Amino acid sequence: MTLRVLPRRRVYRRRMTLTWWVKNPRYVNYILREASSAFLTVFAVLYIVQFALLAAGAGPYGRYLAFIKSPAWVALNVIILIFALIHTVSWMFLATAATPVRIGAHEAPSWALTISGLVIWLAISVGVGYVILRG
Amino acid sequence: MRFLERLEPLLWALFSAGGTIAALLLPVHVFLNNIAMPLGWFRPDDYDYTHAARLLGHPLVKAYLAVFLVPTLFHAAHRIKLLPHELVLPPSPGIATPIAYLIAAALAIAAVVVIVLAP
Amino acid sequence: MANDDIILRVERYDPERGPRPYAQSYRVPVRKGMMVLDALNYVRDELDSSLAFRWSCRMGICGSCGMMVNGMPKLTCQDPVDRYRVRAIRIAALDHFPVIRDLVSDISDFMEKLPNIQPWITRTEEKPLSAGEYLQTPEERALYANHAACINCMLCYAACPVYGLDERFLGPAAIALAHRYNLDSRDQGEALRAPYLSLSHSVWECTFVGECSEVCPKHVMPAESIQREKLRLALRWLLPRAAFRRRP
Repeated sequence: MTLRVLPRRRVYRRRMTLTWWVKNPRYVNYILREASSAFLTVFAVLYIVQFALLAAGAGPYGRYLAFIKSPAWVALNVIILIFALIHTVSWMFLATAATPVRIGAHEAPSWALTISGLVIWLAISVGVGYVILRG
Repeated sequence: MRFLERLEPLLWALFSAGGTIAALLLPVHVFLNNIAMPLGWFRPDDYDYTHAARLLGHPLVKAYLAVFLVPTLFHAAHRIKLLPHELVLPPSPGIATPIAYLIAAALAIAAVVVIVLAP
Repeated sequence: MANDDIILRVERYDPERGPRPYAQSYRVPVRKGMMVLDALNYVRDELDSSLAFRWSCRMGICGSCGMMVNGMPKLTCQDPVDRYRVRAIRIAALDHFPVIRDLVSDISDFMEKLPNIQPWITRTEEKPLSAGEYLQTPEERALYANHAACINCMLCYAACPVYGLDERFLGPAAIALAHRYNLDSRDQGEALRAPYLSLSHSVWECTFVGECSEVCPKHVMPAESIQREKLRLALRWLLPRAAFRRRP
C-alpha cells in the first residue's frame, strides 16, 4: 500500500540536532535520567576496584583508605550520588507507570505506587546502612 | 546484532530488574561507602581492613553484592548504548549496542571475581 | 493597531519556491475564546489565502489540525491563543514528519505501519451468528477504554524523539492501539500481534521518554501502553507457553 503524496525530494524535513532536548524541561529530565546510567557504571567500577584492593590485602586496602580522603574523590562521589538520586526518583515514576497493579476492579493510582516505592526505598536504605555500619 | 535483537525481552527484563535494584540500593551505598566514610562522619575506626574483611567474608554479603552489581551493570548498558544516538552523535546504535553489552559483561565478570576473592 | 492583536509567526514551506522553509508573520485581532486554529482561519480568510493547513471538525475529534505551537505539539482547535502570554506565537508543521507544504505534514509513514498491528478485533475462533454478539462487561471495557480514545492526530509522534531520530520506529499511537486490542476481552489476536511488536524498531526501541503521554489530547497514555506491552512480551518470552492460553 502506497499513499505517498509527493516524491520524497519535494518535501522538507526538519532534523533533530545535538541540542534537541534543551527546549523542553521534560526532555532535560529524560537526558539526565539516561545519563545517570553512566554514573551507575562508574560507581560499579569504583566498587570493583575497592574489592580488588581488599582482596589484595591489608597493605593495598590501607592505601585505598588513604586515597579516598582526597577532595577529588569526594567531589566525584557527590556527583555520583546526585545522579543516583535522579535515578531512584525517576525510576519510581517509570516503574509504577509501567506496571499495572489492580486492586479489585480498579487500577491503583500510579502516584500511590510511586510514594510506596519511595517509602520502600527509604526503609531498605536504613536497613542496608545499618548492616554497613554495624554488621 | 541479530543475536542481541532476539534477546531483547531478556535484556529488557535484566534492565528492569537492574533499574529497580539500583534505585533501591545505590544511593545508600554511595553515601555511606564513598562519601560519609572518607569524610569520617561515622565512627572512623569502623572502616579499617578488619571491618571490611569481616563484612566481605560473609557469604550472604557476597551474594548480595553480586545481585546488586551485575543487574545494575546491565541496566546501565541498556541506556548507555543509546546515549550517543540520542545526542545525534556517533557511534550508531548498531555499533554501540554490542560494545556496551560487552563492557557490561566484562565488568560483571570482574565484579563477581573480586567479590568471591575478597578478602 | 489594537492592543490585543497577536502575531502569528508561521514557518512556511513551498516546494516550488525552494528547498528551505521561510518565516512569515501575520497580525491577527484576538476574539474572546479564540483558538490557534481560529487565528489561522482568520489569516486564510482575510490576509493570505495561500497559507496551507489541515483542519476539519474544530472540536478535537478529527485529529487533523495538529501543529507545533511555540515548539510544542498541539491540537490547534483546542489551544487558546490567550494561553500564550507572548505577542508572537510560533507555528510550524508537526515535528518529525516530512512537510508537504506550509503546515501540512505527510503522515503516510504512520498510515502504512498501522495495519500491521491489526487494530481491529481479531478472533481465532468465530462464534456462529446464532450464538449472538460478543458481550463485554463494563469492567472489561474499562480496561482499555482510555487507550481506545486515539484520534490519530500524530501529536505523540511529533513529541517522540525516538521516532524523530529513526523513523523506522513503529511509534506511540500504533503500539498504544495494539495494546488497546490486546486488552480487549473480545479479542484473540495478541499472539498474532506479538511477532510484529517484537521486531526491531518496535516496542523495544521505546525508551519511555513519556512525552507522548504528556501531549496526547485524549489521554491515551501511549508511553505507559508501550511499557505494558514490553512487560507482556517479556513474560511471553520468559514463561512457558501454557501460561498464555487463549481467551474463551
